[in-house]
Amino acid sequence: MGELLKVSGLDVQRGRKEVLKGFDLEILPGELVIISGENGSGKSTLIEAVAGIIPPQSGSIHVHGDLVADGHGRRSRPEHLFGLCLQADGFTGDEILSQRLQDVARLYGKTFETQDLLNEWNIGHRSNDLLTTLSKGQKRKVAFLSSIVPAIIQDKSTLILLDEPDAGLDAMSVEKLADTLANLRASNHGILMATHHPDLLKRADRIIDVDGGIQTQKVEGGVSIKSEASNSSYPFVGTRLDFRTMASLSQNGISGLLVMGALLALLQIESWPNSLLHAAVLAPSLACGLSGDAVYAKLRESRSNDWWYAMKALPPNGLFITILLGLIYSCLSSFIFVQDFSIVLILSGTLFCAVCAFSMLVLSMISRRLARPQALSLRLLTPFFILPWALMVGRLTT
Amino acid sequence: MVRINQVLVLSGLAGASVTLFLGFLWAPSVSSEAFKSPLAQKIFYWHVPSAWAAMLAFTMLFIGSTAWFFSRKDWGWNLHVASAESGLVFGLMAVWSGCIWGQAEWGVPWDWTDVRLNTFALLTLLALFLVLGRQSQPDGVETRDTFATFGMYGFILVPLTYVATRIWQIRHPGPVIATDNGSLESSMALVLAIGAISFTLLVIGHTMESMRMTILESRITQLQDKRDER
Repeated sequence: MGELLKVSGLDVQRGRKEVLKGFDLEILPGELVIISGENGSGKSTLIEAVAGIIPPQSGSIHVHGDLVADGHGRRSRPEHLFGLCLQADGFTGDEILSQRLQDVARLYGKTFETQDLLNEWNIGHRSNDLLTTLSKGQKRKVAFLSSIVPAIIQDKSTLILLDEPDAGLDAMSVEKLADTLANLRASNHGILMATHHPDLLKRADRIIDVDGGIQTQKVEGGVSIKSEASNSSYPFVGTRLDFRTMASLSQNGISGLLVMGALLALLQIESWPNSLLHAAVLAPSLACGLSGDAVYAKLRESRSNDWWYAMKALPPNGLFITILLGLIYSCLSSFIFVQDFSIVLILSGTLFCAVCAFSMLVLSMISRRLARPQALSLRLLTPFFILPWALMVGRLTT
Repeated sequence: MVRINQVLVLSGLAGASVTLFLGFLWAPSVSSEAFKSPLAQKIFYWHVPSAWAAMLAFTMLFIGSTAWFFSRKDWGWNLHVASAESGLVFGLMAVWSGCIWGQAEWGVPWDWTDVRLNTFALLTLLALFLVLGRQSQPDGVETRDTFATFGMYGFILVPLTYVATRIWQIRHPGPVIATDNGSLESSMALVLAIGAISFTLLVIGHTMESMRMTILESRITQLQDKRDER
């Protein structure tokens, strides 16, 4: 069986600093490899580069034999996804614990019974709670369990990437963590972990110092670990989050409502020419689409957007509800301003809302890697949609 | 010692001054039958060269963004930063002068349905976004990659702006130089040519000077980093 992970000549830069230079690494099935080093030495950088979150300057990364990234800008999702536990937990507080693990399983087209696993880790009684209500240690357990789900529901050897999974865990939980890692090794999965904890260091097959130096030790123990899983469809996490938190309604819905209300309150419809009436019909859905993706904005919490980016190309988003709101506002505006349900106006408004909402999502995704994305004035780019909107109004009028 | 950047900027400024002088005091006026406001037409000698300089700056922005994004060349990033600033300056000049002329000639300063007006304004807005955005973020590969992406994709507006009046002429007049739609009288063409050359020198000089400042900023940052490590 080939390597689960092969890193060759990896150079990775973060900010202004070259963090990794010419780094090589291989992980075989059944190996637990620990990366050690001082703070800022590149442990998290290595894990995030392997996960595809940070692009390398040069070198290559192969996961399960598939090229994940290289220094020429080539990127692809490996055919067999890996497990990932980031240093930040990688989920938002609005997710429900058991649903979180189910969503991870559904990324692989599977579903499984989560209660036993949660009970083992002493958080079974919180299975229906929002993640925001959990303590720091409990959240860390969830982050770790999310990373091992791919391994325990699949029959094939899986790569698991762990960035300080022990942070915030008590002694008993660390022991449980160590035992689980041993079981994963015994089940022929490969693990790359960044940690300083001595109890975990002694369980590793290899300890690699990022600055140089490899220590090999003989480690035994562990039993095979597997959960029964059945097939399932892709989880619509974004839409579910949106329904639960009303994020798009609060952000996009209110914008559209304000615009419609202002137009109604300030202007006399009877004396308007057709062009203005058509503009009024399309304005609320334009405002709705341009308000940005409220669900994606929530994913910035605990680097959940990075976790989803590593797992899937399109992260959870609020497009469905935003476009639905665009349709609703187009219908309402059409009835209010032209006293008719004009199919052309309604479809135009909905389509425009969809295009604007998708574009705003893409703009947010482009700025994902910035150190201070909230400081970026993305709204400055929203006038890009005024021209096509005005042209559409003009076209509909003529 | 005088640097070539300074020579270019000073030459450009001098040429722009000469252009304005000649435009307002020497170039012939247009007829009141062809133009509603013949006096306002003199803005032409400022407006067109500044728009040309802005387009040049946006093209340099594209080159710099591409050089950084695909090859991680530092000069590419420096060019991106400098030409975004130049594009903003000259873009605002063109937009502002155009609004003044438009108010006098059309009775309105702007037309939201005119493709050329709006695509040019969007380019200027993109430049503003890049300038403000860069100042809000620490320098690093993540910042450079992100803004280089915007710089590359935003360039699509440049050819769109160029062909706008040829394909969708709505309010902004079409081209008058070397076209079948008519041409400029020779003295007007001369003043315009002086203006175009002056603004070209000005935008290139301004960009080069900005690049020099960006390089000096990077050097200061490196020195600060070295100091922090001690």
